[in-house]
Amino acid sequence: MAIEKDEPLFDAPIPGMSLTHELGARPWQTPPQFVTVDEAIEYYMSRMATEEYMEQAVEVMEMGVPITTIANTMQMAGVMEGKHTIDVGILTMPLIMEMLMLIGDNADIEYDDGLSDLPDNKTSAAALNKVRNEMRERIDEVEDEEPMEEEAEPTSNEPTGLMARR
Amino acid sequence: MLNNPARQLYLNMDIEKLSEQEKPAPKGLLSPRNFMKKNTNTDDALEKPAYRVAQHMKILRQQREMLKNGN
Repeated sequence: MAIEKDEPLFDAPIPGMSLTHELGARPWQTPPQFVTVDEAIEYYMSRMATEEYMEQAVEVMEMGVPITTIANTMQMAGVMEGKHTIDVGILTMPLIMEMLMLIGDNADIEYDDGLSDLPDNKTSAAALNKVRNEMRERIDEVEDEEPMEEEAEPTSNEPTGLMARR
Repeated sequence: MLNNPARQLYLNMDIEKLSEQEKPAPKGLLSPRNFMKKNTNTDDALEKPAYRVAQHMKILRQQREMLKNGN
């Protein structure tokens, strides 16, 4: 499932957007809760080791969301909540990915690690299934609406050729 | 535009070549002393956060491999 695409980023913040609020009002503008990488690692590992988190992570991974996307979202959320700084988040990301893979392996599910080469113009199986289902539904609708017209049988078998008897 | 650097970060963590942490030298009176012991780079590396992250990753990777091998 290709979620990450090289598309123009239209939802990027506009210049000066960060100045629309009072300085220090946002969590990421205040000193972070976890200053070092070790503290951030401890925070993530203890959070990810809970049963509740594991169940949610397995569900998301089964949906086909790449692990790279989940890890990036997690660390970005940490930055937004003021848990740690961006650089600490970037440093912890590989570890978050490894932990997610461990959770996936432990649950014995198939997951997309997101490490393969990015979009290779290959149609995903999910997209093909979707199209297949849509086509099947459309065919069923057409069959329900229009009963097959029986071909009109020729009424007579009289020869129509030029040399035929009249 | 690169929106998610996770793939590059993960692939750049070369944890396979991570050097083993040296065992602390015994401090007993009868233990051999290495006065002229060369200073290894391991101590410097330990101070780097990326190195410590790699060490944690290595532990998790080993756990995964153990799971795959059915241990």
